[in-house]
Amino acid sequence: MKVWVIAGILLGNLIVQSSLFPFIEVYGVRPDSLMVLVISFALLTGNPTSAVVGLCGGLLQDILFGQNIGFYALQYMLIGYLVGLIYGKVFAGKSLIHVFFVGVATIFRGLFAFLWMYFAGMDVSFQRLFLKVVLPEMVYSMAITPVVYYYMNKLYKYKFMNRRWHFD
Amino acid sequence: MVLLQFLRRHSLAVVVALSVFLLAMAIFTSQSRGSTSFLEGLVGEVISPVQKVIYRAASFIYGSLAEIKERRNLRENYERLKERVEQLEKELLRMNELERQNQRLKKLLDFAVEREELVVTGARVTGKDPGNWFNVFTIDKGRNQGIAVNMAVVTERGLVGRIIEVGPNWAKVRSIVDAQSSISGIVERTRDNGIVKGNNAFGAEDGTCSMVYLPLDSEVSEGDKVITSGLGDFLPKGIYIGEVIEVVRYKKDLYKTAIIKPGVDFQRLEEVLIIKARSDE
Repeated sequence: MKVWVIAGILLGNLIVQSSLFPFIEVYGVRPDSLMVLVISFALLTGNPTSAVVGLCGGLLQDILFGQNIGFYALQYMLIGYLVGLIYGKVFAGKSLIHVFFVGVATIFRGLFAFLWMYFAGMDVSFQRLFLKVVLPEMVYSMAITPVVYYYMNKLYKYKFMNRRWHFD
Repeated sequence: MVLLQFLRRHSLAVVVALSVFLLAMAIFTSQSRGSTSFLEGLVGEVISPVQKVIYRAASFIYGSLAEIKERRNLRENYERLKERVEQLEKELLRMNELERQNQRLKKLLDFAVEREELVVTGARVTGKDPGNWFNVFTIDKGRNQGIAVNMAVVTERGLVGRIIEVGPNWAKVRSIVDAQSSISGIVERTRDNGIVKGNNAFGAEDGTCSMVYLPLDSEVSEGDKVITSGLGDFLPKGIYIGEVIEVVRYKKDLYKTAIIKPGVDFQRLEEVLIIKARSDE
């Protein structure tokens, strides 16, 4: 059950992201809803779920849209794993810790993308990349985080979501 | 069970190993590939129809909202358009005259007619790259409809991009504003050749291209139209790309660079036309 719910969330997210988001762009920038989801999973349930969610969600994006299979998967898996490490160590309840992590993770993705483009030999300006893409995306993603987190938190009130994986 | 417990106990090692593997995959697959793998084909087949429905619903809602807004500006638009029609009619007359002249000259010089019938098929956009980094989108026609890699994708407003991967009933298109795109273009007025590269490595908000390698003595200026040159690559000659909005010369470069605003609106793509690369293919 839990697996199917998570798979459904990822597929639904992918469809919404690629179909609806082009229409809610602000100056060409869209929120990164997959990252918000990965971080919500990381803070609500920790590893290995969050790392696996990041890996699978990223892989789906890679397969459908990316030209480099593994590019997104790697980023989201690492975000899921690293944020998942602090699960249980901080109280994520009413604080805005999730918003904070979304901000940090956006910067992490920006750095990753910059390094990738740099090593691929593309002519990228670090300053421009951060000012025109990373910062707006960060603000937009952070803005939708409380909404997504609220519903994810509600979802995790159900018993089946808190059942441990059989190898835990 | 033992294996799962091992995985859990050594999660850090597993994550590191997976990271290395994914990085290697990403680098390996960044070399351009023509056709899709079985897995990609399968996932694409499943998601594409759903995407199509949602994308159409979203376009409809967006379209309705835009229409309401549009009505407010109707009168203003009307006046402006009337003026524009007059202007265009004049232009058309001039163009017709030029075309006739051109045809006469062509016959005179025994110019070979370069492109005859470019086979065209229409397709619907079913989804856009979810991130802000690259600009690749999928369409609802594929190998089964006769689409192949490198075919040109256009709308009535000009060149969109070209096919980079083909699945059974869907295909991926890389737009000309994508940073990984480069095509050869020509400035219509001055006949200067250059390479048109996408500027969207920095995110979709830019939406321009750069035409590089223009000679220093080039007289290219703002407002010049840029078309495909048909040189080297697979695109047919003479497809409209966009208009020059700025000409710059970076100090270190031995050439001029023109910033081009493409004719196509890449934020709102719904239907595209696929053009066979060359009529003889």
